[in-house]
Amino acid sequence: MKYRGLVILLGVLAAVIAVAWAPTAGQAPSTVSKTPWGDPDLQGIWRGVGSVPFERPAKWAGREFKTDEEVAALEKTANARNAERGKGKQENRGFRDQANYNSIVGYSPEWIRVPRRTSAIIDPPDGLLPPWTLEAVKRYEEREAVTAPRGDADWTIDRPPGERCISDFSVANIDAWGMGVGPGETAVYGGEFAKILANPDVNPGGEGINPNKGFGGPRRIIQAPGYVVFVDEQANNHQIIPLDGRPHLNKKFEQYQGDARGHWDGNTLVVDYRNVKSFGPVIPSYGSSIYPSGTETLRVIERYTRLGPDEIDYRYTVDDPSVYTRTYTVQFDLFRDDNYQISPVPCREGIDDMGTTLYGWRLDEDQATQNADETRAARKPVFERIKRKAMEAAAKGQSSSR
Amino acid sequence: MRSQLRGSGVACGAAVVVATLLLWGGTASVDAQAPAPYTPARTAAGQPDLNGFWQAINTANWDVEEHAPEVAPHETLVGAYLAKPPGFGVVEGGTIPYNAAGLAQRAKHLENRLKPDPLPPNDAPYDNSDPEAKCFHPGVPRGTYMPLPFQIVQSHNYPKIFIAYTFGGDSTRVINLDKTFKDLLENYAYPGQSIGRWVGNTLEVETRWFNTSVWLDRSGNFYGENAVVTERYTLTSPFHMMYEVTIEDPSVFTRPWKMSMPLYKLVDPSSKLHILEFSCVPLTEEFSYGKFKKGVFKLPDLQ
Repeated sequence: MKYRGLVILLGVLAAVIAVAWAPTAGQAPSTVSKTPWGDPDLQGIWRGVGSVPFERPAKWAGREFKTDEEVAALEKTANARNAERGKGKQENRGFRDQANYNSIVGYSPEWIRVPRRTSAIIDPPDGLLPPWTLEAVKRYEEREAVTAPRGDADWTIDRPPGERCISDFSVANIDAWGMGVGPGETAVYGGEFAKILANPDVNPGGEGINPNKGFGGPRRIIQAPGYVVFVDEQANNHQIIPLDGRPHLNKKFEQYQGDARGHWDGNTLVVDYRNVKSFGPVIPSYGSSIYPSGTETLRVIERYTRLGPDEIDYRYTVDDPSVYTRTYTVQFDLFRDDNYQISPVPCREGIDDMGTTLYGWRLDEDQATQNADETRAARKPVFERIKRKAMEAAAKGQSSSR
Repeated sequence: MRSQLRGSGVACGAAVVVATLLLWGGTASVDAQAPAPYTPARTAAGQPDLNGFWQAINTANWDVEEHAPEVAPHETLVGAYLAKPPGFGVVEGGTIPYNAAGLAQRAKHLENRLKPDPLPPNDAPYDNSDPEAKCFHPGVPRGTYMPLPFQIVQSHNYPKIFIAYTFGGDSTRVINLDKTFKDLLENYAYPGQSIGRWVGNTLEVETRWFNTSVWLDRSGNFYGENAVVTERYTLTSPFHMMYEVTIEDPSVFTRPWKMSMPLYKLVDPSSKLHILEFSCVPLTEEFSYGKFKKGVFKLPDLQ
């Protein structure tokens, strides 16, 4: 699973690091190629280009796009940093106690580009996640209460789904869920980063590494009459999407990867996900990657619109009235890269790190407790900010508006 | 154990449905292997159209060799639930031509099939017990004849074929029709990597690059990580195909050997044609790691 973690990290970094072949964004829609059976043809491997802050940083408030000068300056900084990595000089924090881990995995041979958007969230128009409902706040607090007495690895449920080799809901980089910019990364990168993330001026936002979100790992799309299939590099996730208008599975069939149904809206592929299975009451150590509440009312709609031979406008909308006071929509540009190779990734079938992890913490329960305390402490300021925003919204009557 | 019980239940239900589809006396017998002349429906690209949901009806997941009934593992707990049913097997000639080392390894597998891997502090190999019990990807060709459906998604104009197996929840495979092994990143994984090509009306798929030995059934039959597995998929009617597999691995077998079986296409209403997520990891963590749970773990056990 260490291997898998590396692969996932590479995937994330691939998304975080922009690539050189990006064509000019915003091309006018051209004639969309069709499959032999008449559907718009989306087949190939698609990657996000660059990354943007998930939520819009205060410094860009009121602005949907950066100026050309800002983009140029950010690209200059990013590429200078990348060049340092290329020379093998360590940058930022060490990882897994390997002195140059970031240097090893963070280097990109390609020119790093910085997208012009100031946030991945395009709706609400302020680029910020909508307030949580008070119901969601309460459920999260209950979850923290259940988690509080637990150590870093009392049992497998205290570890993140990816480490358990459970393929979960992977629509783009949706694992952020609004809590993703803090605790998970903190747990990986250590205390120094926790301080950065705890600073509301920095989190969310900045053109740093972790508050940013890209599309996630590369995704292969395969089509056949009546079906679209997604095969992700990340975590062996996949989706088989029927297009024949059949109803969703009944609620008995909650699935970690959800239940997808698709249809064509003109040239746009619309995918509707429901029946996402919740991971239960415990917040895993890397708690950011799981949904902050129950998933009974969660619905996610993806839209893939091909703008040209090599470009897709990708966006998804999260609709969960029990968690968010309104919907929010995230947008990424996807570019075709059929030369990219997606290989099968052993996880459960690889070196079995889960046993090692549990065994290790059994030998050092004090450290396990301390780690859990640290990740909980890192979550706290992020949650407090979310809670404050929820209470302000409730005071304005927004919680009851849906 | 729980996964096996659940798998068996699904298998029985699915088998009843599929069994009603038999157009002629097709059985899992090795005597019924000759593909009948048949002109298959084709994709827009002119290839036989394999799209759909398929399933084997046989006992090969218990034992690919010819086998008599056997008592269940942990019979006092499970009674006849996990008793091994008799079957003709799917191996041509009835038995696999193991060399001496291969036979010894199989015996070790059988003895340990339901013992969780030792894990730390012993860095023992992790292929001691049945990968099915541990919720591995079922691998090739076992995923084809586990008693659960699998779906083939075959594009008409993009040179990839996608297969999703029910067992495991994320057990999928992409067959590359436009590549050679020289074109692929040399990554090793339990399901290996697959290159396919059309030979007449037959899809021929070669799979290599396994990261450990791969089990073929619950009886410990296996091939080694350096094996070359060649599958052949040939439609023999609108609702059947012949599935043939040749396995080469000089380190385990004295010669290449072959298995074959018919596969049956599911024709349920579309609302029931669906690879339901069987995410078995959460169902097997007690089996694999239970002794490391806080409150259960005892250091002396490991000394």
